[in-house]
Amino acid sequence: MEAVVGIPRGLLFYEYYPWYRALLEGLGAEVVVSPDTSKQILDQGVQTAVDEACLPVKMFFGHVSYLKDRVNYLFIPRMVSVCPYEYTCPKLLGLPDMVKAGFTDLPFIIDASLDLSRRVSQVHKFVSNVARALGRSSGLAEASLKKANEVFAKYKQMLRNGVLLPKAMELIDRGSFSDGPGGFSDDRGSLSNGLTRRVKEGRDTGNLYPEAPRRAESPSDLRTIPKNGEAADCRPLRIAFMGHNYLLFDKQVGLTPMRYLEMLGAEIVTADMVADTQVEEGAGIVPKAMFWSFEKRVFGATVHLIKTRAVDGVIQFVSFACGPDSMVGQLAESVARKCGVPYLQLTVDEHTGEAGIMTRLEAFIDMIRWRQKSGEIDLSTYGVFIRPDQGTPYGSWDRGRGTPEAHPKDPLFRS
Amino acid sequence: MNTIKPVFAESGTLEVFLGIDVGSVSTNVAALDKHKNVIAESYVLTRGRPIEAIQEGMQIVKDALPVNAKVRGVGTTGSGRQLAGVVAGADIVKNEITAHAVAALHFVEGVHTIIEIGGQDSKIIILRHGVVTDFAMNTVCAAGTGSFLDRQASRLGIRIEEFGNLALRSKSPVRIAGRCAVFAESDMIHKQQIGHSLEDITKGLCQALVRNYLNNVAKGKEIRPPIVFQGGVASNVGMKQAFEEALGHEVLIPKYHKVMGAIGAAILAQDAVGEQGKTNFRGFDGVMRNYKTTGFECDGCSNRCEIVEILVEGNIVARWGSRCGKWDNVGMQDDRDAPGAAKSRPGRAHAAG
Ligand code: SF4
Ligand code: SF4
Repeated sequence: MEAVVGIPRGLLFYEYYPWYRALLEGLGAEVVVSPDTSKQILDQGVQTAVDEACLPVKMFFGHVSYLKDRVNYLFIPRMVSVCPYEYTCPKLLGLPDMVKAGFTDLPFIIDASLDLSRRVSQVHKFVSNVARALGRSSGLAEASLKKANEVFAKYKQMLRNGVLLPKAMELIDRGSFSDGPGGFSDDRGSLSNGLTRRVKEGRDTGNLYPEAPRRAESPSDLRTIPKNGEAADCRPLRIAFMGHNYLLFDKQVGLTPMRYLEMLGAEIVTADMVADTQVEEGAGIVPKAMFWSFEKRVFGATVHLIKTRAVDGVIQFVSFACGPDSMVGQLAESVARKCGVPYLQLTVDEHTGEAGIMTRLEAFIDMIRWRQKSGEIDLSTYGVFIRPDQGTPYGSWDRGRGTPEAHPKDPLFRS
Repeated sequence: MNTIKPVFAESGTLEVFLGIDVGSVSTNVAALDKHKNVIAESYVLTRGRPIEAIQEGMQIVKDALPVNAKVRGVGTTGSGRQLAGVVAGADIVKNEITAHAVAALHFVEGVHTIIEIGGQDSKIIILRHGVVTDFAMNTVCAAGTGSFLDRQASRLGIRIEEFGNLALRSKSPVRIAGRCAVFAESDMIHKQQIGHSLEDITKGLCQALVRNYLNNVAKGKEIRPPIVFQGGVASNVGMKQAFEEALGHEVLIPKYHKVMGAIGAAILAQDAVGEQGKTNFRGFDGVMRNYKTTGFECDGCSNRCEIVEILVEGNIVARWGSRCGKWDNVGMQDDRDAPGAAKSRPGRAHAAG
C-alpha cells in the first residue's frame, strides 16, 4: 500500500513545507496537505484543542481533524531545535504529544525529533527515523535529504528576493523558480506585484534609506489627514508586517489585513526578506543571546528595519496566549518607541473580529501619514546615525557601546 | 436625546456639516456650523438596528436645525461608518480614532492624551504637536468599558446617573478586584455583604475600572496633560475623580463628550468638502427612505465571504464583504456615487466594519 502522508497546514508548515515535502516524496510517499484554514477548520480546532492554547496551535488541531481520516500517516515532527544553541517554542516541542492526547482516532504519527541544538549532524538521525517510520532504508533517506536541502535553498532564495511566502510555496510546488519580487497569486488575483522591489534593492546594497516625506505647511493641519481613497496618490508607505509566518500567512488571520494594508497604499515587508546577517545584527542589541529561533528572526528583522529606517511603521501580529510573542513584542515596541517609528501591535485570538483589526489598521496608516505630512516625523533625518561611515547602524542598550537614541529633534524624546 | 436651541444665522442660509458616529451601543449625530460650533446633536441607542438609529438621530437633528440650514457635508465614523456612509451619502468615512482625535483637538488645543470610554469599547489616543502619535483600542474586555459600570450599577440597584455622585461621597473606597468583569462582580457582592457602604463600593468600582483601563488599554503609553476624557462614561463624575487621583493631573471633560466622534466626523466632512465643494449628502428625505440590509454567504471559493447588501426600496445600492471583488458591481441599481462603498477598493474593506 502506498504511504499517504498528511502535512497539516499550520505552524512550522509555513517555515519548512518545501523541505518536508521533498523529503517525504523522496521517501516514496504521497503527500497531502490540508487546505487553507477555513472557518470550519478553525472551529474544529477551537473545539478539539485545549482552551489555553494559542491560536496557531488551535488552528493546527483543526488541520489535523481535517486530515486524520484522509491519510494513513500524519507528519508532525517534533522540532526541538533548528539551529545550534537555539530552541523552538515549548508548544512546538510538545506538539506531537498534544495532538496524540487530543484525538483518539489518529493515523500513524511520524513524530521523529529534530534537535540541532548541539550538533547540526543530528539532521541525519532525523531523516533516518522518518525513513524508518515509512519502512524505507537510510540510504534512501540520505538521498532525499540532499534533494530536500536543494529545494529548500531555492525556496529560501526566493523569499530573500522578495517573493511573498504563498507565492514562493506555489512556485516551488510547480517546480519553478522566481527571482522575484512576486505577489500573492490565488483566487484574489495578483497583488503586491513589484511592491517589494525596493526592499530587495536595498538589501543588496545594504542601503535602505527611504526618501524624505513631503512636509506640510503647518503642523496639525487637518488637510494632512488622508481622505477616502486618497492613499493612491501619496507616496506608498512601507510597513513591516511582523510575526510568525503561520499567523501572517494564514488565510483566516493575517492575509486579509495584509491585503487591506495594500489597499490603503502600503508596501509590505516581512521578516523573510531580511537577510540572516542583518537579523543577527538586529537581534544582537539585546544583551543576552536570544534562544528562540523564530522569535529571534522576527525581532532581529524588526530591529534591522527600524534602525535602518527602511520602513515607515511596524505592525506586529501576535497571538493571544503566546509566551514568546509577549516578550518579543515588548522588546520590539520599546525599540520602535525609542526610535520614534510608529508601532502597532495586534493581538489575535479566535474571537478577534475583523472589523476591529481594520479600524486599527486604517487609523495606523492615517496616523503615519498625518505625522509625516505635518513634519512631526521626518524620516530622512534619521539616516544620520546609520551612515556606514559612522560605524555600525546598531546601537545597543549597553550605554557604553553607543545608544540607539532617536534624533534629538524628535518631540517624543523631549522631556 | 439632548438637543440644543437652534442658533439662527444672521441672514441667508446657515451652512451645516453633519457627523454620524454609529457604534454598537449608541448612534450619535452632530451638526456643526462652518465655524465648528455645535448647533445640534443627538444620542440614540443603536439596539442592533443601526439604520433605524441613524434615521432617528437624523430626524432629531433635522428638527433642531433652523429652517435656513443647508447641509454642506457629511462624515461618518464608528463601527457602522460604512453603512452610515451609504445611508447618508457621506463625503468622508473615517475610523473612530482619527475622528475622536480631530474633535478633541478642536476643543482642547494642544491636547496630549485622550481617554475615551464608551459602552462597548475604550481607547487611548496619544497626541504630540496636534498629531496622533500612538493609540490603542480595547474591544474585547468588558472590564475596561462602560458596560462594566452599567452592570454593576444595576446589580446594586442604583441608576447609572446617580453612580458618580454616590462615588464622590465615599470616605474610604473599597478595593474591588477588577481584573475581569466576572470576578469584579462576585468580589463586589462579597464586599456588599460584609457591610461596606454603597458610596465606598461605587467609588471602588470606579477605581477598578480606571485600574483596568490604565493596565490594559493604556499599558505602556505615556499619559501627559492636557488630558481629555470623552465618551459616554465621562458623564460619571466618580470616574473623572478616580482618573484624576490615579494620574495626578486634571482631567478635562468637553461639553459634548458623548458625541465627540460625530463632531470629529463633521469637522472632517467640512475639510473634505472644502470651501466650494459639493456634498454627496442624500438629503434628510433620502436618509429616511426604506433601507434594508440583507446578506448571503458566497460559495465561490473556500473564503466563504459574508456578503452584505444594502437595498433601498428593493434596489441594491451597495454591497461589500467580498474578498475578491466578485460581487462589487453585480446587479447594482444605484445612480448614486455612494462614497466609501463597494466601488473603491479601500472602501470595500472598510466594509468589514
Ligand atoms: S510561539 Fe507562540 S504562537 Fe507559536 S506555537 Fe508557541 S505559543 Fe503558539
Ligand atoms: S466573494 Fe470571492 S473571495 Fe469571497 S467567497 Fe466568493 S469567490 Fe471567494
